[in-house]
Amino acid sequence: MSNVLEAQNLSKVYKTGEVKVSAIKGIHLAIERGLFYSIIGKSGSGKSTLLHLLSGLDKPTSGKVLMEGVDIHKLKDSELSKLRRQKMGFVFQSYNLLPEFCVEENVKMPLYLNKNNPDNRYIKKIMEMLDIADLRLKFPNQLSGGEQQRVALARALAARPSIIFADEPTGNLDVETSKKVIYLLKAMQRELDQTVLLVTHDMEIAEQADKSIRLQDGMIIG
Amino acid sequence: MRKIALKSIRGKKRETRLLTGMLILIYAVNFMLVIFAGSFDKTLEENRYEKYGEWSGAAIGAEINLKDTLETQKDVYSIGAMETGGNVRVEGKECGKVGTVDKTARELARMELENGKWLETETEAALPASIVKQLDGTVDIGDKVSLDYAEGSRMSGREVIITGIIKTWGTDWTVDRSLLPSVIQGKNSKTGAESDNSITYFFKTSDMNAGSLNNLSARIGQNSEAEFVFNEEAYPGNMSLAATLSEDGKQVMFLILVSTIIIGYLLTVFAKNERYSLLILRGLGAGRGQILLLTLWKCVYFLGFSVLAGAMIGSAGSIALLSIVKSVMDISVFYEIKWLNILQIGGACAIVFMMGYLGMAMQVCMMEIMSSYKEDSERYEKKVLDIKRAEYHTIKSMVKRNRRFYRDRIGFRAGISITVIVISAVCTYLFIKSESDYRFWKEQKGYNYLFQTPDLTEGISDVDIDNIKDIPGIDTAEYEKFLNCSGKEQMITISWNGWKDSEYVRTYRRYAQVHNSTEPYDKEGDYFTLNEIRGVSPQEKERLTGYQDAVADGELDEEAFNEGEECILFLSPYQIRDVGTDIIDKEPVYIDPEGSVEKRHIYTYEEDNSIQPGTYIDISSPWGTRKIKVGGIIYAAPEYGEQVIAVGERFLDKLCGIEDENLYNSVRFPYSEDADFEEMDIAIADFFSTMHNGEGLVNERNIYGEIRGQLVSDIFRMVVIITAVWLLYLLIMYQGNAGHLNYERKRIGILQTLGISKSDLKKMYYYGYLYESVIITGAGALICSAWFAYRLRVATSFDSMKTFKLAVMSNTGDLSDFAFSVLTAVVVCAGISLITIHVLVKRILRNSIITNIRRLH
Repeated sequence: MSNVLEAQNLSKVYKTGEVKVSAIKGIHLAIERGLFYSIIGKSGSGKSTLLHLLSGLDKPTSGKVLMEGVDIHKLKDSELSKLRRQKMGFVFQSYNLLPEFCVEENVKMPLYLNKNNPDNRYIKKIMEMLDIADLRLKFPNQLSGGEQQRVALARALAARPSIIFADEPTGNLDVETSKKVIYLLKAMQRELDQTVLLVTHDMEIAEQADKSIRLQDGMIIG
Repeated sequence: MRKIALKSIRGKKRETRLLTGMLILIYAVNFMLVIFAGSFDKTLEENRYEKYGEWSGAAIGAEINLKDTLETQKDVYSIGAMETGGNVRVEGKECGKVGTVDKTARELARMELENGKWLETETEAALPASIVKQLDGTVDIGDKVSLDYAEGSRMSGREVIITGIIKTWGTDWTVDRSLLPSVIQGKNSKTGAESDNSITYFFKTSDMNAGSLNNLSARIGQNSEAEFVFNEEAYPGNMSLAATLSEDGKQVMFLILVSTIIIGYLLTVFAKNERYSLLILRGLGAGRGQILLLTLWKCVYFLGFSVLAGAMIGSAGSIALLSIVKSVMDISVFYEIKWLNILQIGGACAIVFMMGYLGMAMQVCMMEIMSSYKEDSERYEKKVLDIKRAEYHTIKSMVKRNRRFYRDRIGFRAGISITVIVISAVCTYLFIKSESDYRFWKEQKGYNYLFQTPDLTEGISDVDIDNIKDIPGIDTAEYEKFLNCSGKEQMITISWNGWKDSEYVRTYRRYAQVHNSTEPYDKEGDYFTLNEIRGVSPQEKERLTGYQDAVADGELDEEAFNEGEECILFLSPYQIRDVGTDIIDKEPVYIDPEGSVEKRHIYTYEEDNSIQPGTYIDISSPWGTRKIKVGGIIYAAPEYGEQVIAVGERFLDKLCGIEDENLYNSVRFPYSEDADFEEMDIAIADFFSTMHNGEGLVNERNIYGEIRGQLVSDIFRMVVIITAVWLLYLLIMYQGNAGHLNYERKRIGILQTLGISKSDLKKMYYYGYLYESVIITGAGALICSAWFAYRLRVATSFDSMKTFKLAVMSNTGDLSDFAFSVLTAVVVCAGISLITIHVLVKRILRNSIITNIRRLH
């Protein structure tokens, strides 16, 4: 199976005044296409930082992140933005919906930004699968947390990205809703042959992944 | 709660910095403007007092017991007495009048000593420096001098000791200069013959305007022979527009209004985060009372710090501004802090801020506490837009949606920007006008004495004019005769019994009478009414030839015209038009029907029984009535602004019953710029004081100097207002946009994760602000144009689109100044808005996406 993403000697050091904190320490990692990965570890182990570095949301202090052979941190902002628009999808613990747009507009936003005409049948399908089709004209402030997270998931899937980065997407949700979100994420991943990188500290969720990356003090321990 | 409030403030460094920064700014600018305006006005006021005295009213020729009556008037205080006697000679030289001036009168007159001390006993005297100079410097303090009083036709002498040299004695006074004594003696002194003595009481009234003095003189004038005079130079009623803008009440209201808009903007920018924090505290179990108390403490800390820092910065700023005034205008500067105004503005700002802040806390207290109050749930926003379907979004439409969603915040920002554009445009325009007027008046030296009295019988004769021309420095004189009925109950009427049913005459009379405030106007009558009539001099050959050429009926017999036996009648077509004075008013305006641009009714003299040359008409005036023969009739529009009639100078003499003399009541004496102004001023003042008590005499040099001074002060006011407004706007836009974008950082981060590039994000913000600027600019320019049109309306005459166009065309200079002012205001405001957003967006985009998306509260 080919690698969709590779990290080579990836490090991240945060500076707070005089204090330096190494969040990620020289990680080497290869992510295979079409698999569901969970990144697990204790709080402060560097799970989210690793996800942010792999997705290009944050810049490493040193090292490379290769996506299909291209170092994403060497790309120009416009190129990296295009990559993000076309090949990446994001789901966060805090849902990060745009409050001034309704559900359907939020979901279609990556397509608008890509200047694509939305495939309405596909959008309708994922919205139905995620059970938010009836909410399409509602605004984020009219939705529950679970509903908002499903909208965020639909948005991540809308542009049919090849890789989805999910940063503790169930962190704010109850058990039932969490299960539903993970189930949907897996179902969509299988159907669209996507790669998913999911950060969690919930072992029950982590066990549903094809592979797990365990972090401790900024290093992969398993 | 106090400790929590303090920790919360300290914990939110960025927001605290922005919020307190803006509050400090509001207080600093308000305090600076109030202190500057107060001190500036005080400075101008003190300079006026130095020149014209501080008294607001004077009772001239008063009986001695009038002081008791004045003391019983509750609005009168500080009453000082001056008693003037007959003429006096010092050491044999003529020195004007002798008199006594008590301490209060001296203070109200702003009299100061150059040397020595004020006199105390009747054997002491003080002399002005100008008289000491006339005495060749032979008199000094401590010298015993001999005073010779004129007592009727004889002189009597007495010796007195000189105790002081007077530095100033009101350079330009509203009261007759002739009443001012030159030699001041101690109290109880003999001041000449009883018949020559005159008492003047100077006083101040609590209400410093002419109306208040009129009321006072009406109240006590019935039992007194005194003439009441208001010191209008020291307390001018008519202020320039620039000065009017900074009047106390208007200034306070205006500053409160602007501050309220800014605070409103400030609260909308910071409310979201604050509500979020309070909501969390509610969730943690804080009661409603605790939330309100916490908010109150925060307000106290924010306001306390801001008021203190604002007061210090504002004071320093005002001192710096006044130092500039001192060095540029070369005048003594007086500091004045109007505590009431500061309290009003400071209090109003504090109340508005506290009400807004507490209102927000109340809103949180009323909300139901939710199980999850995550920032992005936005549930506490309670905002839902009304949309029918999902729309396809481009960057432009995303900007529009954002604008719709945050319309309150944007509304406040637009309100501030429009206010700034309007203030800057108006002030820049006034600055340009004042500056160009100043440049004009700087060139005008005003080396003229102008004598004018509306009453021809009080004019000066040929002989007097020749005598004045003998004063060194004065060589020529320009003179004319006129009658003016302003202030008189009766107007000038021109009647002929054939005009009784004339619509032409009736309409003309109606509007002329209404224009001259004659209510009710005369509906019936066979006459025209005029406010003024001018005599045409035989020397005005060109005008007389013009009459000769324009006469349609009859002819001009120049000799009879000059002798006042014949007149020329103007029965020209006219329209009733707005004349565009300060009070919009209508009056008959002669027109050329061929060139008329208006289709409104033209009144023409087409009577069945029309007046013919040779007919005698009656001219009646407050000074007399007389018949005159109509020599010729002109139906064309007058070339020299005549109204109804033209008469020779001699006719006015005859009308007023002046037989033997040749008097002129408007005489201008140009003088050489090399002349000794001081001596010439004294000589002219002395001449007119013996003739007309100095009334009607104006030294244009002084008037022009005052105009220049007024213009410089206007220029300063405008520079200060424009600088303060632009500086304030820059800081508000920076702080406000910083606060707004601090919140927007998360949105920027989300859009970045969705794949929008930095350059597109920049475009999005630039487009948004540019669009906003266009709307704001349009609204601002519209308001400015309405103001300009109104200003044009009162300054010039237009009452339709056609005449408006003509008014605009004839004021292209004004128009271009105005357009430049609006353009400047718009460019500065749009520039500030775009530059601040550029700097801030650039700074945010320097962060990593995850830093933006994880925006900390």
